[in-house]
Amino acid sequence: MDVSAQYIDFAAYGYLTLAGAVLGLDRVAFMQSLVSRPLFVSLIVGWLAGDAETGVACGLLLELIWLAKLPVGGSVPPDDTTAAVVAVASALLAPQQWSVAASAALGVVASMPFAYLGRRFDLAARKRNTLLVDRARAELQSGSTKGLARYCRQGVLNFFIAGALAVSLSLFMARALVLAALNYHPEALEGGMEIMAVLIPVIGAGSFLVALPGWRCRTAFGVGVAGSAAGLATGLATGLAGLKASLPLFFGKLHGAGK
Amino acid sequence: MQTLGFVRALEPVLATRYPEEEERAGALLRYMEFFNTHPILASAVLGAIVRHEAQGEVELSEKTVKMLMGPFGGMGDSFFWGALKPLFILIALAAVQQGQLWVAVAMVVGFALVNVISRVCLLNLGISLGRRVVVSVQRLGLLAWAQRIKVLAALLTGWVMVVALAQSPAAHWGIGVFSLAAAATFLALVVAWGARREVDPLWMVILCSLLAVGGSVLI
Repeated sequence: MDVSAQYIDFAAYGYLTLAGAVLGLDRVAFMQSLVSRPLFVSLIVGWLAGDAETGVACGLLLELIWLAKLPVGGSVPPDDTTAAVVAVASALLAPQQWSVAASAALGVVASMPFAYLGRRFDLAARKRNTLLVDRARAELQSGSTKGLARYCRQGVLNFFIAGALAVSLSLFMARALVLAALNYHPEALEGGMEIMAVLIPVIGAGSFLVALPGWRCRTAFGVGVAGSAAGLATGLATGLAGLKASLPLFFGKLHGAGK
Repeated sequence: MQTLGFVRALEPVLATRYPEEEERAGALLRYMEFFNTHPILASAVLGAIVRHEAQGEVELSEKTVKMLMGPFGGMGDSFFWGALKPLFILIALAAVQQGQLWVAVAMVVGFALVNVISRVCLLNLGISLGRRVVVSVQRLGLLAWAQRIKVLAALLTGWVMVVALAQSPAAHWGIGVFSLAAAATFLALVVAWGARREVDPLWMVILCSLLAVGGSVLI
């Protein structure tokens, strides 16, 4: 399926919304594994859209930002699944002559406000689910246990609906936002996004450092930086060439093929 | 929402002890209070309740829920969410950067397995030990392990950041990889300083992109 060529197509919106809503269930309602993480959502959405390379590029940038946004304690982080779907779909709107890195940065930047919109829907679903607990309690007080399974299913359904609404609304709004920005000053936007492709990994890594306290972690971070630089300088880290070489083995198509 | 899932999970267990629906509803109502802990360690709480309910220790069972959910929430968040999950993600990121997508897929499967196996083991531990499961879980030293894993995560964060920069447009700016790494480290520490003062990284991205595009318009 090639959705990038007909981004406004309703069937494509349907597929992307369904993918976002189903994968988003993994954030709270289902396993809480890695399936809802931006790297994997971007990969799947990119593959669905016929451009796995842009999907992976978006996922790498988003994942670094969301490393510091884990749902620890009672905190509800911005919706990374919605952000990932919107980022890939927005990145595919970039002109074909743009580099993959700039396209991915455009998608990621465009997706940031919608991560907060997704969070709003997430919070609304949680609020509705609190009401379900009250209803289940009332039913137990009346001596019946029959509703428990139904209320559990309803809770999952609330998260699904919230995810679907968040993704579909965000896709529409992000498209308008990105197209307006592209029409306004495409050259400046491209230049800015080239810079953002460099800055986003640094912002992600820097914000995650807060969750890694102590001199041991600081030292390890320094060792990682030095080791990576040395690896790249000596050619031990294969870099993008390895990624480009292996993607066709998995997905068959490369950047631009879906445009 | 955890409350509802927790009570739903208890229903088949209590069905054997309370075959009459009305009695069972009354028993379930005792657990229909606020329940919030780490989802993986919740299995240990569930196991402990199964044991105490089976032995008819109703009061002890209710106390156990209140006693365990706080400490287990802290331990689980610190180990599973704060350390293990980022480590799996960072390994996946490093592998994808090197073109090894299969490693990323293996990380998804691996973390799912850790998730499920931990739940099964903790449920069994809870069933066999009851409220004493807290001692066994403490002996696992999850907090100490979390610290060790975080060191590894920090190492990988540094690695992934520099490789990401080497694969970005910065590679064509004519800056040496060591200079690029040094500049990125300095900037990352500035970002960490800002993040420690509650500046949201998402807003940093939005602000930086406005500045970058604005700068490009001026140039």
